[in-house]
Amino acid sequence: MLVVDRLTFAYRDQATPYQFSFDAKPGEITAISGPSGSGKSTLLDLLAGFLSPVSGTIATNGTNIVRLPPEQRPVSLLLQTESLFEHLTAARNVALGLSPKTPRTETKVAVDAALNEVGLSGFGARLAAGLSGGQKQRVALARTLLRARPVLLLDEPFSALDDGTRGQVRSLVVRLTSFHCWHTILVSHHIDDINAVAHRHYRLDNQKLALV
Amino acid sequence: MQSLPQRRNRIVISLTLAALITGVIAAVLWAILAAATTVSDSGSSRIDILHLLRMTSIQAGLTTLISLLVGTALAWALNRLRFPGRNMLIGIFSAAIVTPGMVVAFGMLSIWGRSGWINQASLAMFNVSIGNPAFGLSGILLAHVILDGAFAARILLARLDSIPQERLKTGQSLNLSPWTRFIILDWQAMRGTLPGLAAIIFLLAFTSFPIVLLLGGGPANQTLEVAIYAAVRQDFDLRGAVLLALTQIGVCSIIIFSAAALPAVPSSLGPSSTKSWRDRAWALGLAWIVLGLATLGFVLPLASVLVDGLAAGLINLLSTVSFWHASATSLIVGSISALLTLTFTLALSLGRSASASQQLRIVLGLPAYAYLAVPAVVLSLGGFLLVRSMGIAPGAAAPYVVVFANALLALPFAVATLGPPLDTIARSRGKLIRSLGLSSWQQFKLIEYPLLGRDVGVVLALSFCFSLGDLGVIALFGTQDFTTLPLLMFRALGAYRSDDAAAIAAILLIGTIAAFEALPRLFERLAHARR
Amino acid sequence: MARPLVRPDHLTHSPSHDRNPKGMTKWSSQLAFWRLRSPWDWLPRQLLPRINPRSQFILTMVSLPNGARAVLSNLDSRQLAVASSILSPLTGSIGALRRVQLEGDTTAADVIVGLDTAIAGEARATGLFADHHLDLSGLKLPEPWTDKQFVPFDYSHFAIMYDTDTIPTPPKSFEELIALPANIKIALQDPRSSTPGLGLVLWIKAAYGDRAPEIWAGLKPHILTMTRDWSESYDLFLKGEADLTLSYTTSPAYHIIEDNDETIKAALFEEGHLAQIEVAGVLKSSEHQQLARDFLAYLTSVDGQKIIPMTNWMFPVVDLGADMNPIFATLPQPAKTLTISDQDIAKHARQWIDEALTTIQ
Repeated sequence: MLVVDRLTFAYRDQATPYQFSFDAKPGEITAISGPSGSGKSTLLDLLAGFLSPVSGTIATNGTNIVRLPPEQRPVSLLLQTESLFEHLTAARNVALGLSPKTPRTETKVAVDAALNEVGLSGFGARLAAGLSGGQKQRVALARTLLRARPVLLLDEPFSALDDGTRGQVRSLVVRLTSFHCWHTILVSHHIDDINAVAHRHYRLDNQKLALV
Repeated sequence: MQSLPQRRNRIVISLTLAALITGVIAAVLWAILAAATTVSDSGSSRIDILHLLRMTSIQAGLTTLISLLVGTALAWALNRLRFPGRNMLIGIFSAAIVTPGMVVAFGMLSIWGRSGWINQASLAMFNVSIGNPAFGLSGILLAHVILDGAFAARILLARLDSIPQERLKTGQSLNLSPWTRFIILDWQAMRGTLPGLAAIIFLLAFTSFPIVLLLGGGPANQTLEVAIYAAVRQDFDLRGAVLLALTQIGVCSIIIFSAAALPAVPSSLGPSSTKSWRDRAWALGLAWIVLGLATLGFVLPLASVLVDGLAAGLINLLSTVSFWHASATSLIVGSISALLTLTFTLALSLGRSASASQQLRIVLGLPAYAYLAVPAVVLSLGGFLLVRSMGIAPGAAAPYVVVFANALLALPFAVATLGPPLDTIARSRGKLIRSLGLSSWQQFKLIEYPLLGRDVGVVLALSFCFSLGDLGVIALFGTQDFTTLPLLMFRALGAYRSDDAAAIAAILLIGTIAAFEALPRLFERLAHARR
Repeated sequence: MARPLVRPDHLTHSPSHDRNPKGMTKWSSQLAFWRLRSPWDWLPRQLLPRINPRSQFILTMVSLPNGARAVLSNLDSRQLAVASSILSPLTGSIGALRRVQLEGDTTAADVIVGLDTAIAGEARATGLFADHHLDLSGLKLPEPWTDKQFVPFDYSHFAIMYDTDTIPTPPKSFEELIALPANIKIALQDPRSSTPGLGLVLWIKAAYGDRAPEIWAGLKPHILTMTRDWSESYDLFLKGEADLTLSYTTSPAYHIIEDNDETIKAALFEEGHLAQIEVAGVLKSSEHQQLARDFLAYLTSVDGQKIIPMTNWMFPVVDLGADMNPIFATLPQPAKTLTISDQDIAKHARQWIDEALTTIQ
């Protein structure tokens, strides 16, 4: 269970602070929607640890993680674009999900397995820059697999994709979420995407979240 | 915002280095001040600081103005024209920033002197003499504009080439006249760069040493830099030298601080993209004329150096032992200073890009500009007095001081090359790097180095070339046993062996251009081979 | 054996190399510094066949012209061998003095060659020079030599050089010189770094007194450049960049003897000319006092002086008799020699230089 309780944050000069409360279940996709500027990115940055809240808690399975720096949070991040380092190969990008001390053979096995799970076996040697949008997001998901963090934050992950690819990546996210029991938080303003994959749907309005 | 990767080590290292550089410069200034108070006054100081300041400012101001005008015209012409060899020509203009001033000064005489090519041609065709513009203020301005105009053109061309294609298409569909296009598209793209560029050119001209020394025509036209040299080496007026040095530091600091508030000038630039813009015929014709004149103005003096140098004295020069020793010294000093510059630049820029606090960023940005405020001759004089006060023979300390000073020489340009892309990586990729928990070394090895391989090469090339062409530092420190190629050339000029000087100038020119073109390519390739 | 950073070029070159294509070199101005040191740690043995085993030291020159080479071979025959190299002959001979002042006791130089009587007073006042202890009574100079620190080795009169091809009727005074059309250019030397440069300031002062600034103001439009050193300005003159330059009444001898060229002449001025006596001195900080003195003694001996006229193109300070090239006797010499007292120079030189430089700025 991921429980966010009265997580409060305000930018300088901001009159009414944001206050976020919601919860997400393992194996489910929790969607958050809202118009541009409503604070979706702020919420993501708070969850990922790039912003520090004034007060409130973020708890995974009963442990408060709000004081942890980003790299120690049980959180993986998948951005709309730039989720990969384009000058590195797909395999190298995926391997960044492992500790650098992992032995080389072990790394290779794990990377191959992860690429296989997202349907990209044999793509390891390709440069990330040469992959299509859908393939890039799948490589990023493969990296998430190796990181094995219980929370996956998705920031508009499908919006740069065309319709065919979009469906494939969407169902891959659903499959991985339920199989690995991730708490997947999907931030999007595409109602199609939300309807297609979300188990629960919160709407962000007036600095607060409301269950739809 | 905490999206920057936490790199405490990087910040600590760069703060240490910043403190070290500040410490060395403070020690040097202290040595100058101490010497000024202890050395007995050898008579009235004949230095008229206000006069010098006025002359130097007029010279630097004119250089800046003309260089920006020439640079704008040349950038405009290069942006409009497409022809085979365009990239090579741009590469040659880019090398202006590293072309040694001595080489240009030498070429000036062959082209613009009374027995130079232009006057001879003018006499033969029209029987009219152009006099001798190679000496005095006109000579200094010509030589400066050759270098700084080409430098300005290269920077401004990059701005023009980065105008978005969509904006150009809109402009073309509105059938803009060449003049209107220049005003509403080109000028807008270049405007932001001009103040910073002007500040750099002004500083370069204000502190110019070899060109003014060789073409200034003596005491009538001096920069503060040359006056400091003259005060030390000709009058033994240390007190006067210190006064001049302090004045120079003051003026340069004011310019640097006001320029620091302006956007940075990018000095590393990728290849230009292709553009589609159909120009009117008269505008194209004008562009060709501008390009032709600029190319002749820039290339002719350098070509004359090659012609003179390779024709007459080369064989003789190659058979002298002193030449080979000077070459070896130049290569070693250049390579070590290049590595030192790279180390300094990486340490400072990595620390700066990792710091979120604005104050810290300013503190870490300043050492890069130390050298512009405390330029070659001042640093060299201070180092000289410092080692002397410690009882060390200047000859023994010379290699260390020269390498260190040469490393600082290229630092402003090196930091301007590596700093902005490192900042961009830290900012645009910071979230991903941080959420993946990459270590500092992983970040450098996997992300920063491969993306910046070419820029690393540019930094090495800049520093190597600056060091290869340096006269300001070596002029005070050189001895018979420790001589670089520029010093050997300077001596050959003073010792009435102009054939040797011509050959050395040609070798310096070939060496700098080769290094400047080859090193970035080499490192780009090396960096890519690793992925 | 440690390899030297500087190897003796004269031993590795073919003799023809150092023959300067333009020939003339005033070597004293380059030979501002001599450094004497033991050769054994840095000379490869195979390069020493001609060295007498009794020699303590060997004379090593770096990039020096014919004249110095001639001095070398003579020194060998006298079995006095001196190891030397030139330190930074960069800013004229006065610049060499400045360098020694800057370096103080840490300097590696032993001897300075090429100062003149005008700067000798200032050099003496630095306290850096040792007494030479030489008996110089045999020298043939206009006045008996009494200086205890400095040793004279040549002299001549300053003069403005011109080429009869471009200036058929030369000026006969400074006043005629400044009245020439403005496109006639002259290359001068900086009085702060070069002894001829200083010499011109003194010459004009000696000839015109309080009217000197007028002459300088008149010279201003004609001055192409002021170089650090004599050789640089002479080079500009020979290349045709300048029509006139400041040199010596003996300079035409080079062009007549070496090039058979009689078009380059020294203009004689009615107001009279100032003479320059070039001197050398030993530094107190030198570890080779005796050796340095031996070198100065040789420089002023008949053997040493024989080399001076045809290499430095100045008059020797001893009577060479038949060994003197007769061409020198044919050169026109000024009717009147101006003088200026050492006291006046010591007192006013700086002020006069300021006056000249301020006028032409």
